[in-house]
Amino acid sequence: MNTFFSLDFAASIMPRLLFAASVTVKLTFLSYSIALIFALPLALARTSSNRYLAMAVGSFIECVRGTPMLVQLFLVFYGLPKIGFTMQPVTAGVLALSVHYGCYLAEVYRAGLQAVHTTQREAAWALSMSPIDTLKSVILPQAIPPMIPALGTYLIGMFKDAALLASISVFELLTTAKLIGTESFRYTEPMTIAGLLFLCMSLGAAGLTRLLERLWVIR
Amino acid sequence: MNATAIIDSSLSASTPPLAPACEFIHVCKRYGSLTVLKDMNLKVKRAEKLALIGPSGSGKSTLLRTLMTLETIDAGEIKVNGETLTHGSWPADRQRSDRPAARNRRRRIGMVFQQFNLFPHKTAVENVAVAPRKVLGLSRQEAVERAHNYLEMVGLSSKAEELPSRLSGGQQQRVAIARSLAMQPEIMLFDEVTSALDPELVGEVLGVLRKLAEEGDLTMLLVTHQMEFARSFADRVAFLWQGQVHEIGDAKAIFDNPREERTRQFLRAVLEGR
Ligand SMILES: Nc1ncnc2c1ncn2[C@@H]1O[C@H](COP(=O)(O)OP(=O)(O)O)[C@@H](O)[C@H]1O
Ligand SMILES: [Mg+2]
Repeated sequence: MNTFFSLDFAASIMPRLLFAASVTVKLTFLSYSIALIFALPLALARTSSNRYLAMAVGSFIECVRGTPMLVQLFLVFYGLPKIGFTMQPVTAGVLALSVHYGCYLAEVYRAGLQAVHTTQREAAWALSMSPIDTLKSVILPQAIPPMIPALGTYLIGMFKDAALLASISVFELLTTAKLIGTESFRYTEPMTIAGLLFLCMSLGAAGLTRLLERLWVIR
Repeated sequence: MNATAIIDSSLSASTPPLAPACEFIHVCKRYGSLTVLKDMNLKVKRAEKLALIGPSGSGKSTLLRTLMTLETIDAGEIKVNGETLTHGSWPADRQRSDRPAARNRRRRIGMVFQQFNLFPHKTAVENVAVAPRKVLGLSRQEAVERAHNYLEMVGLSSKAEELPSRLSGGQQQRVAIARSLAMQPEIMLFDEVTSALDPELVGEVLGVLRKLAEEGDLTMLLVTHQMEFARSFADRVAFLWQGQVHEIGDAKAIFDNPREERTRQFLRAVLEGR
């Protein structure tokens, strides 16, 4: 009766875990979208001709990339309230994820932008194109396709790092799996299912990445 | 669009009628300790075809690139139609300004590069249409129509929908010429535009240049190692040496009767090399 893995029990906890998984997906997509946007000014500032700005932003990026996400999460959740910014666990989690990944994505952008040869900028300059038109019509269309695989890798990474939000009691997938474990003293089923659900998310993200790559090449 | 039209008319109203198309006045350009343009003085008349010749490293590309404001200058002044285009006393960000007024001055000048520098993600017609659409504010349809006209002029109507990677070097360079012409500049700069081409493709590009020269109005500055072409194409020829115009004169005079010993040596070396 007390089998290693009870299908009945697994089925009974499935709805809760699926709901929690949907929370993880939403948190990740929200944080990833913010990171995608936040990374752009970071990348532009880091490549700016203003040396001080470039250095300040560069140091910030290296600090964020060089410290564990969990440390940043605790700093945001427990540290910011001390200086007057109290927030919900979910808000703190989204903020930490967005900033952490924003810094990685900024480096992806920077590498992508720098891979477009300066002669392309010179050609646009010789046509008197404005900086914004040059970026939109010349640089980004060439810079984005090679970035897609790296962007996909970080999306997958973010699904997994979203589990860290369990440590500040955000009710995402891992938190829920742990809670089911403590309630029922059965960990095998919730953790196995949680693992499989994380795997599905990663595979989904990888599939999405490949689809985007293909669409962009055809265009 | 209207704003640019107003700026343009005010510019031409204040322009003295006989100002040179472009003018280098005591221009210096340095890279670190290397002086590449050394007190450069040069006047190019309107509609003139000027060939620039000289040994590698003599500053020919730099001359064109400073005129296109791709490079800043360290001293002196460059004028276009009698107006200051850039000035050595200006800080770098003013010399390389992205502001609309600066871009409007720059718009009088177009440049074709040795390596074509086409936009690889755009078809031939899109390459030609993008700047007229974005910079001159033409509608998509007007821009495409104009692009087709210029592609026809360089003999590439049938390749309009091809990506650059599907074109030969000669065809790519002709698209690049059409792309510059579509902005209807007054001055066109050509920096060794046939040097990257296989020998059998050089002729088709030179043919386009010759046709442009015969049409008249355009001021053309052409850096080339093709001496026979320079001779038949150019009104005047400037021989550059160590960052200065060492000798300048009518094409025939320079090639048949160079006054300077350096010019003679250079021409002898080039002609023996073939
Ligand atoms: N970006 C640069 N940085 C440093 N030196 C340069 C740069 N561009 C050109 N030079 C140097 O300036 C000199 C003139 O170059 P260039 O104008 O390209 O000569 P040309 O076109 O006549 O061969 C050369 O010695 C070249 O090495
Ligand atoms: Mg050169």
